[in-house]
Amino acid sequence: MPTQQPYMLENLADAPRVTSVALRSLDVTERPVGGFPSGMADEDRELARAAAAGDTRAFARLVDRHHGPCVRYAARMLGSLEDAEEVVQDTFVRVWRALPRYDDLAGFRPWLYTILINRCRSRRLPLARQAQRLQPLDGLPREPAAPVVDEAPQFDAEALQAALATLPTEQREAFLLKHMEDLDYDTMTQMTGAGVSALKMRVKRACAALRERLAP
Amino acid sequence: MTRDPLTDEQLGIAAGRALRAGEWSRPAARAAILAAVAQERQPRSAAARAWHWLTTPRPIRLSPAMGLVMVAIVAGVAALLRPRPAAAPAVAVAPAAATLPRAAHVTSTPTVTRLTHFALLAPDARSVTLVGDFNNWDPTATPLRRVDGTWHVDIPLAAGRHAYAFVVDGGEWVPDPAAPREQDSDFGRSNSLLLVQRS
Repeated sequence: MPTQQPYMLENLADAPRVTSVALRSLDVTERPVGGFPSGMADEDRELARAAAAGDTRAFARLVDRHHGPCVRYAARMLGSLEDAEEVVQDTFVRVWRALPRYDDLAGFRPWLYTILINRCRSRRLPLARQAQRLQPLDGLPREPAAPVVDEAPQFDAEALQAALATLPTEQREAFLLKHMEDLDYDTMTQMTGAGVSALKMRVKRACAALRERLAP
Repeated sequence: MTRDPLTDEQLGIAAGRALRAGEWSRPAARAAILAAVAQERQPRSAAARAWHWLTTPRPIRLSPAMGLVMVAIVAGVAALLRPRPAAAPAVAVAPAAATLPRAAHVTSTPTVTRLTHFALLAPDARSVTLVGDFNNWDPTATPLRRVDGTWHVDIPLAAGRHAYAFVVDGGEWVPDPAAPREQDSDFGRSNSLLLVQRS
């Protein structure tokens, strides 16, 4: 269990210079659907270095590569595509500002997600005050998932989103990182600042709640 | 017949697949990010940042007490810099030095200006103008416009006390019948008084 602290969003300048986190955790290859092809992390690192030196084209490449998954995560967290795009834009602007201090850390993507996760958490605060309104599904893609041949059940994304919206933020966050983003617990710890056992518990509770809400 | 309940792993895989489906990255949203980033300044050198800091206007909050202290410091510096009368012709330097504290005072209490309406009932007049300390008593500076038998004008006035009168037909100075009179009027004329409130 790594002992470094998660970088807090508010003062990235003070983020510890972590260089020894297991990079293998980034290369999720066993499930290519949501995972990140290996080798992308290396390319990200090169692009991030170039962008840190002021290369806007390299930065545009980083945006192209990560924008979709970031929007997807934020949209699933917030229940609104519009909010998600705003949060992701804010996230990338912060990344651009902090890039001159970018020091490889543990890789570009965990760093990006650390910021994104925090932006989503801050974004939820005002929403939570709106009398716990039901999450509307405004603008989220409604394409059915690609048909699969195995025995796994097919979930309706809309029903799933509605069920997710009823979960506590921490559980939704952990569930999405684990099962939508296909991350391992070490990486999730690094991104969220929560311990592995706490994250496992959140995912477990989220699964239990979703199973109940999605039961036919 | 009911299926066995899903394990967490099965649920996670199926849910993950459903949640990922679809295209999430709109070109317009990506373009908006790059536009926002383009607006951000490129990382700057320390000197450039210092210059930027120095030249960027910013509001300053100042307590009245600190304002007085600063005025006192400026006045003290001005007094120290004031040349001795014998040493140099004081004419050019002394007024400049003397204005320093006043300038500091003016910036710390911004002038409040209010649009003020003047009206005079004078159905027989051919022209009416307004004179006062705000236009150096110039009878041509502020003409009133006739609406039926009444003459009107709106002018911005700084907060504070103003003396004024109307000039009817280019000659006669008429005090405002609806306003108090100035006590010690110059030239035997009786001017009206107006107090423009600060708020």
